[in-house]
Amino acid sequence: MPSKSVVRQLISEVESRVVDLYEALMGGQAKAAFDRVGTLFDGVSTERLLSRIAGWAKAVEALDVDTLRGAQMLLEGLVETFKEAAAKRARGEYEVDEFGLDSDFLDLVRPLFVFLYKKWWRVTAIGLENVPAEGGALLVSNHSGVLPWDGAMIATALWTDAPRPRVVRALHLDWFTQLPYVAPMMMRTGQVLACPENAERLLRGGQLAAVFPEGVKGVGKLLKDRYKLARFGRGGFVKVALRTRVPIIPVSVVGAEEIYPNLMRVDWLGKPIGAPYMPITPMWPWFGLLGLVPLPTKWTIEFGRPIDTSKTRERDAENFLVVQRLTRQVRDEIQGTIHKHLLRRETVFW
Amino acid sequence: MRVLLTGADEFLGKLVLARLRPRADAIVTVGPGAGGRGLKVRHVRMALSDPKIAALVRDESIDTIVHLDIRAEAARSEANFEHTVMGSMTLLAAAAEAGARKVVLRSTGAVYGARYSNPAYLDESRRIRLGGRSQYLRDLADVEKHAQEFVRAFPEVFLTVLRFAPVVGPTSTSPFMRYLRLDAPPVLAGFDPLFQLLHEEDAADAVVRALEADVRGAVNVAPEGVTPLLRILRFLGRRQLPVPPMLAGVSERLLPHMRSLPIDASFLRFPCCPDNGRMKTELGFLPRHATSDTLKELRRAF
Repeated sequence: MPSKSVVRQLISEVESRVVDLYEALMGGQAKAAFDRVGTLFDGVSTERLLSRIAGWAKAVEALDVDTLRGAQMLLEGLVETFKEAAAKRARGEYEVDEFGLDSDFLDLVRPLFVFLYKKWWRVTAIGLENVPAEGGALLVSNHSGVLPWDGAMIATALWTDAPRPRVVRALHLDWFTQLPYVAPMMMRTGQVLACPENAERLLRGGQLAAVFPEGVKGVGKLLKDRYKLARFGRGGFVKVALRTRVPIIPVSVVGAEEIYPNLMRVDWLGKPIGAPYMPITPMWPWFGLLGLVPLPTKWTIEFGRPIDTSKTRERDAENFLVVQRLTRQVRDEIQGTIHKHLLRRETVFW
Repeated sequence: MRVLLTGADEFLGKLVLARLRPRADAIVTVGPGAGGRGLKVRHVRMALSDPKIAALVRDESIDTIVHLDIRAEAARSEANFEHTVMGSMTLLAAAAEAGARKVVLRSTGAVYGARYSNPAYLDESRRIRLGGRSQYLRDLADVEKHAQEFVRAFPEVFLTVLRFAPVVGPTSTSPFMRYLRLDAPPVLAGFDPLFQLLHEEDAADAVVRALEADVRGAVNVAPEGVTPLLRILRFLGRRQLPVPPMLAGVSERLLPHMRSLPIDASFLRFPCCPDNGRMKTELGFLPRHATSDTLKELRRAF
């Protein structure tokens, strides 16, 4: 049993996340009101409760007519813009790139990712200068967290915090292309099915591709195995990098491995719906969709020094020993960086 | 150049015939239909699977065969099999026997099949799939297999197989065009695969280009750029009929809409876009219309 103070700490942490969320949504005025709701429940006497409600009412009064009118105008403006965008989409007036990336759509959903990046997981990105400002490069990252949020956060880091914003094309499992609604969503936000043909085409086209060589073994990892890297496939990503002669950039993500504490895998349950794994977490599947809300851990993403592949010889990509050596080098570097950050980290949540 | 042309009754054959007339010394159209007529053109009415076709090729000293007559019907029918598969095999045999130098065969990029694990672009080295639902996909896979053997057995004949991306345009009657012309084209809810749209004029130009370039084997013919299916339907103002993907197999039998669907339902779920690399380098051809240009022109046809 965790001690009472730990539970309280957790509650207050979640509370402050919720407040942040609220703040992000409504601006500073609402915070005062919300603070009071948050502290409402730890007192017991009715008298104190009533006095708190009174205090809360006072805070609501602070929202004067002008503020409300301002908020209303802002909202109307937003609705108008959104309606226009929706009408344009309904007329089919939008273009996609050769892999189906829909820039208008990406602009529409990006605020959600920025919110998760800045407020929910408070991501610290290190070494962004190691990612070239242009031209092809292959980001190689550890993979975890049941749902592939790590890919989304790597992409958001390079969009919001990089000196020159770049779009990252994350390569995903073929399971996702079979899921209704999920498949087109991933396509529109620029993610691409993981296969050598697609990776080569992206890199030759001078784009940034992100791969997760651990694959299912990584994303479906159990909590007790967190931060222990699984096998890096057969080194297919190294082959692609050698063939296209783009730099490999090791990326280490710390924090994502605890967002869904995966206690157990009941994979036979996933089979009927075509899922490669079926996790059991404290929240999933007991609390339904609520189980999809990730824990607000604190994340660090470090982009390592690029590994140069431009001086490799003609047939190195076909030489399994060369491929294997490079694969191990990338894996060791990521594992080392993860350990460094784990030692520095005091708690999981901040 | 003395040309034997099949499929002159259909949109692609008509466009190709108009392009060949100034270039060729003589054109003989062959097929069960009315065929072509006019300056330099003569029609011989006979079934493609008729072995007498070999004598025709020899007597007319044909050096070039353009075989475009493919029955692109989804429904099962022995007559269509006889026409498409036996007809193509007879024509190829006639070409080899009578010493034609060049054969261009029409196929479709759909022979690769739409699968969840497909890369975004499929090149010619990809294995063709034999198990389509539509009769014409099975037939064309059959023809393609035979064509591959033919290329090995008769290297002296330049056999070029053109695998077209969906051909659309004001006169096109391709399966995808017929799908777009349905009252309410069905879509699978939650899926939005990418498509290339090849303009019918570009498809005809590709056939003519294949006569000039000596390429053996299959070449994909596809334009630059892709567009999601839902965008095509919205842009053309088509009413969509969303079908739950789990019911797609069942509704193929139940819903009259799905039963008469000119393309396989799998193409409404997963992508199947031919890669046009070989077309650009070896055929030396680039369609004048990119996918989005074709879509803009197509709006006038609706």
